[in-house]
Amino acid sequence: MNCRSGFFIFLLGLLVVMPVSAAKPIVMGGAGADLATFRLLSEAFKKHQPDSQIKFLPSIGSGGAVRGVSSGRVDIGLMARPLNKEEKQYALTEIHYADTALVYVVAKGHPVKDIDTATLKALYRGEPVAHALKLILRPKLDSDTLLLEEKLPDLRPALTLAFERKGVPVGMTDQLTIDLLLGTENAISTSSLSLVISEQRPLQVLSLNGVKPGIESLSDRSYPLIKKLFMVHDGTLTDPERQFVEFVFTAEGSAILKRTGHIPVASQQ
Amino acid sequence: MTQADTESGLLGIPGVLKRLSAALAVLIVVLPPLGYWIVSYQHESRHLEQSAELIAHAISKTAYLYPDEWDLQVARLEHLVEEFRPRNLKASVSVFDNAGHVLIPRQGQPFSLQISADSFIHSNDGVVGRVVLEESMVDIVYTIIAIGLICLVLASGLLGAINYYSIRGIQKATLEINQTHKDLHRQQMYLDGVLSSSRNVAIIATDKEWVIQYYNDAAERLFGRPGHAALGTSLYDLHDGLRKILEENRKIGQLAGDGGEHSLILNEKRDNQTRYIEVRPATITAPQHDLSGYTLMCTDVTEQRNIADIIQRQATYDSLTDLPNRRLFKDQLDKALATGKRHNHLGAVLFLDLDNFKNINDSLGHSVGDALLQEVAKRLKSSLRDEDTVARLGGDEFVALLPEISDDPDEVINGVQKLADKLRQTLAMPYAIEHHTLHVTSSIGIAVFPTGEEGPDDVMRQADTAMYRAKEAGRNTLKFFLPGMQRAAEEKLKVLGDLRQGIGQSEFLAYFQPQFDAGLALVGAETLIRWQHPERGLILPNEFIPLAEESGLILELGDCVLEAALESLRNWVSDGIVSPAFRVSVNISPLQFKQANFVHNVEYMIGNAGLESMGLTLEVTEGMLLDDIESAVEKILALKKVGVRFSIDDFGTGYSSLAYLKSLPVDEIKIDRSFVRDAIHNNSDAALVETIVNLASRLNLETTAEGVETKELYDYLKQLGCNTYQGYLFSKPLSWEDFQSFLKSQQHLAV
Repeated sequence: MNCRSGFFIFLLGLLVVMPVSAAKPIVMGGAGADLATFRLLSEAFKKHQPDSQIKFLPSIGSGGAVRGVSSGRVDIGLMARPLNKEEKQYALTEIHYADTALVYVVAKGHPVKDIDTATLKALYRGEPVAHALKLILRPKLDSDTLLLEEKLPDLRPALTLAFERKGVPVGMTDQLTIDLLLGTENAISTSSLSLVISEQRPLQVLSLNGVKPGIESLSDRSYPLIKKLFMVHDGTLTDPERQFVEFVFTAEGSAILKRTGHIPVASQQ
Repeated sequence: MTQADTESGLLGIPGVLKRLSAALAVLIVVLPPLGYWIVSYQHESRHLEQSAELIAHAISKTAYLYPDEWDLQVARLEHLVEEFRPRNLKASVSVFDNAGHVLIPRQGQPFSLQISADSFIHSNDGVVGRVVLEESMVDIVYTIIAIGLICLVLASGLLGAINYYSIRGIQKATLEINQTHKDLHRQQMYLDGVLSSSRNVAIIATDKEWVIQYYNDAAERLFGRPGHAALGTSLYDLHDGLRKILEENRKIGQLAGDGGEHSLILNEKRDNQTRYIEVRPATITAPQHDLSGYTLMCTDVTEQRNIADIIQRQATYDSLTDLPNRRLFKDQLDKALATGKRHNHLGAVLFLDLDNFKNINDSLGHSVGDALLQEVAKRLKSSLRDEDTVARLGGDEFVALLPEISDDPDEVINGVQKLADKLRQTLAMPYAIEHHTLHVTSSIGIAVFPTGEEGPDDVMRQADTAMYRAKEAGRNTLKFFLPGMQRAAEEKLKVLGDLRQGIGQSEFLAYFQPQFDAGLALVGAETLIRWQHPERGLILPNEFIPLAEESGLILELGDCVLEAALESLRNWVSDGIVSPAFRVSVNISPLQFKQANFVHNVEYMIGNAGLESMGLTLEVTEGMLLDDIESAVEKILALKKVGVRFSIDDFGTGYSSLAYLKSLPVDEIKIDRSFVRDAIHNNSDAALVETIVNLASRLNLETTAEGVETKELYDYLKQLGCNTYQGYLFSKPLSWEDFQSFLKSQQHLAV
């Protein structure tokens, strides 16, 4: 697409959308990992665009984001993974805006500070581990689970066993998982570093095989569980929506992301 | 049921069995798979419904919490589906919203044959979507096909087994039934054959109502009614006489009822002939009550009856004269005695004997004698009343029974005497028989009864005794029985008893009277018998020989004498007292000579005596020879082969024809002493003696004269040419011991 035609379309869009957009809020929803971060971003955005209205759906996951966007019920979807093959048929636009770490968390103050792969295998197999840690799984097709399988392939058999075991609790959303974890003694589960930071829940992030997840370890790739975060839309952004997307990539937006445990894409470039 | 019915019935069984087994096989093939299909379908349907409900319920919780976003939470929905679907659920799960949008697509391609179930997802606002579960039925179909194949194999095997065993069993049963039918048929044919083979026994079987159920061929012939006309009809209708017996006497029912063996005689007249049918009823006692009834075995016994009548007549009538015999006469006499005693009437028995009948019989032959007896019988019969009975006791003895003549003894005696005289005169009239004119007189003994408690034998014995008295009185007379006669008769009985005892006690002795030739050389001896009675002393033969002949004891006496003669001869010869040519003669009685084994008996005794040379002469009378001349010649010739000589004793005393002499192979004629004794003084006797000697000489026969008592007589006979002499001139009969001494003293004379 060249600049002239793009601009023409943009002007046409303004003429058509403007009166409507003033009344219609931007509906955002998707993976729970960055919902809190995007609330922070939306609040910062509203300062620049006071008329803008942004509505956040509860955590509907990355798949929900795709379905919401493709069905028009979500304007900007948040995904903790890229579009898969099936999702790409909807001709959506995905925008990689930051990375964060997939982290293992326990309740704050728990004696466990670090966890290694062997312990994780034992934990997923249901074998006894130190401090009697209790595993809380994420859904099988959740982006966290998919990422673990991708980044820690040695863990796949143990993961499969864990899903076959009876009684292992599953946290349906990021937020519900944290709630479940905090309500369960010695519970351990996965979450996102961005969520831990932005939602400020009493959690304790564990280092993996001695590597503590953080901006540094994400930047130098020493921490293996890097979660890519995307915004997705149907290609027909309204101004506010577009402005919001652009805001995420602004310095202010990037700062918020960094502050909440992200490595913004802008900074990567 | 006939055999064909049974066979067709049995043959139909395999078809029915085949159809039944085929139906069973179809059921076996169809029912298990069908059942499995129904059960599996219901089970899977319920399983799917329950699973869909479970999943829908889990999703509904999310929809309730997030009514606006639940359908967007794909990962959550997928997890819920995964979490709540039963582990063993193979179904594909898909989730739709109310608009029909697919929230969770089904896994894999749709099944061509499937079962499905769905359940609605509810939120607070109501139904918001639905869960659809689809499961392939292919596995079930494969299982059903497998079960069907197994069942097919089982059914085929079962079908084959049923067909094989049932058909084989039925075939075997059919064969056995056929065999049983054949056996029964053969048995029935056999029994029919057995029953029909009774050609002379008509067998009729009836049921209890006397309806004929069986009727054999013999019955057809006997009653003249064919079987098809008789079967099924009443026995009463078969024969009037039979019906009469059944109805009037009711015997068959009674007799058959008690199961005894009784017979009834049914008289039937056919072709003007009376036929006698013996009917033997019996009860059929069959295990099956409906088979019980009666059998009648009917036999035509007409011929047997006739034969029985003949036998009965022969037993009670004399075949020659057709007069009652002794048995019947005794029966009549017994009745007459009883009646006489009861009515106090007297009757009489006349015992008649023809005088000299024996001479007629001997001289003119039996045929003349028999004809004479027949004529006598006729005359007797015609001379008596109808109520009188005349019988022939045997030989020339006749008896007449005159029952209930009167209660007055004088009247009876007079009447009987008149009648007896009339009879005697009637019998004395000439008889013209076979060109002979015969004159016969009779002696009649009369016994009047009842005089006490006598029986028929007593009366007959009395009449017999009286008859003998009449004979003794000169014949052609009649005598009434007197008590003294009875004593004589009893004496005779006593003598007979002594005779028997004497034989047992060896009281009979052999005496020998020497015989000399013309040169007075001792050439032989006649053996004579004497009875050494323990009380009466030595008794001469004329006192006991007639009684011995009459009683048959002569056979034993004759054997004794013959045995003694042979033994003596052997001893004398072996002792050298006599030469081997010495002759011993023995008198043979008519009874001995008539014996069938006479020749054998004599040969046996000769052999037993161990004689090397034969000097035995048997003396027989003319009557014995002429009685049956052929047999006599045969016997004489047989014994002559072993060296036995034959002499005709008492020659000339009978009435024989001289013609027989030439045909008889005898060796010697013994001139009776009655002729010899007076030959010197009586011209007639001299002429007879001369004739006899000449006749013998011309026939090359030797002559022996007995009763030679004087020297004159000896000289006279020697002059005539007589060969041998015997008499008191030389010696009286001597005992064995005396003869032994005589022999020794006469040794120079013994041949």
